[in-house]
Amino acid sequence: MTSLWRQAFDAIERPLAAAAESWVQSKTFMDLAAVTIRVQRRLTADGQRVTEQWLHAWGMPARGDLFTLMNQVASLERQMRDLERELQLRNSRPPVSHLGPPAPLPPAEA
Amino acid sequence: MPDLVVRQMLRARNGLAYLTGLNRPAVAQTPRDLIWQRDKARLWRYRSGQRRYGPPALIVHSLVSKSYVLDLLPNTSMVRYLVGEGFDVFLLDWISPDPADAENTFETYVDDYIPAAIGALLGDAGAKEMTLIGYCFGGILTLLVAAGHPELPIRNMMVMATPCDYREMGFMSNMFAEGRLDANDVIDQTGLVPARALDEGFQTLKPADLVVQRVNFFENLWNDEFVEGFLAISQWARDQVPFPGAAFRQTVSLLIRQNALLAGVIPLGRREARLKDIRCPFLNAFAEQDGITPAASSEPLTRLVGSEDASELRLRSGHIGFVAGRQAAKVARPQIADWIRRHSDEG
Repeated sequence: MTSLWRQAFDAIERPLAAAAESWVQSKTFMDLAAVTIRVQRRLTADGQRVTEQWLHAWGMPARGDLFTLMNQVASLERQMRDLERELQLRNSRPPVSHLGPPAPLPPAEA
Repeated sequence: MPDLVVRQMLRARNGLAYLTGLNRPAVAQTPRDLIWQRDKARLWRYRSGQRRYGPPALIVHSLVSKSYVLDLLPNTSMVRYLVGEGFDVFLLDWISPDPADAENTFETYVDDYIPAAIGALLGDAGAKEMTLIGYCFGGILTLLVAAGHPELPIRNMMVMATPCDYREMGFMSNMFAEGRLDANDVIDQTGLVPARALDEGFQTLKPADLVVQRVNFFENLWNDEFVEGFLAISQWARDQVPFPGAAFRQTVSLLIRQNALLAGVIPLGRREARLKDIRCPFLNAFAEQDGITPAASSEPLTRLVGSEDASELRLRSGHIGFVAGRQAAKVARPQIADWIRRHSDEG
């Protein structure tokens, strides 16, 4: 049996939840959310730029430098992966027998 | 009255354990072995002494969540159930991506990781073919693999809670579909879509859910089984992973804006993957109350594939309840197992 407090909660929550769900699907909400995300991103970037300039003026590393380093390491890791793939591919290829035996080496000079 | 007193005592005990973090459930308990790995991809094989059906089944997990939802708790584990039913179960899992994975595209998964994992699976199981299963976004990857690689020995295929028509995907999709946001608006300086952004997006879909869940939790705090299940599911729901930026750009451009899955033709590298080229037996399983992948989005897949034996399994549950809830235990898992069994060989 559902308790009284739960019945009361459900009676309030259900219409409110339905209204909230249709509100988040509305064009007005989506437009607002998009503007908020863009403004937030812009402000964060501007804030970081100012902090970075200030830290650099004191010869200190900033968050952006950390990201640059992380991306450089990531790029190296990707290159390593590509090389590994290339190596695996070469090792899995059958020997090139149709080309015939390798040409004899020229006689060594005395 | 005594019942009430006992319940209050249990409530106090479980509440204290929750506040101190002592009753955090242990997830992903089914024993398994690592068979193959490449970069962040991991292929696991679940141990079993009673494999009765073949070919082996490979579950490809989503890119937007952690795979332990498929093996949440012993009594609600999808994987444990399938293993117990006599299937040889493999799971292709993705470790949380880092900046090195930021440039992973659909092709990285479809032309590299998944075919290589299938090769490793066939070698390990000594099988000539397999059943391919995709969950959520993993379903999209399996569709692209099956459509783009007709040479792979896929005997049967099943997708679970897999989006197709992105017009039906609601808030998160609409934010990008109509140009309000571009992919780059949510990709961070490391080239990934942060887990936080995905979590906030999912939370926004049902704004009142967080409050309702707390109330349900309090109401059932005396019930140990409920508390364990609730904690496991809510831990998973908030345990999002970042999404590779390059794959996200493709998601926005191909899947959301061009709605390419619904068109049945998805550009893949220099070629096109056509869903009509999927000719193996196909099951499209989706949930009627799924707020993340609405049924209306998954439905069209059944008619878009080229299989003569294509069917749908419509379940009365939500996205998580699909694989981990009570509904899953009673209805979803037995029906899914039954379909695989009917398309497998015994012995």
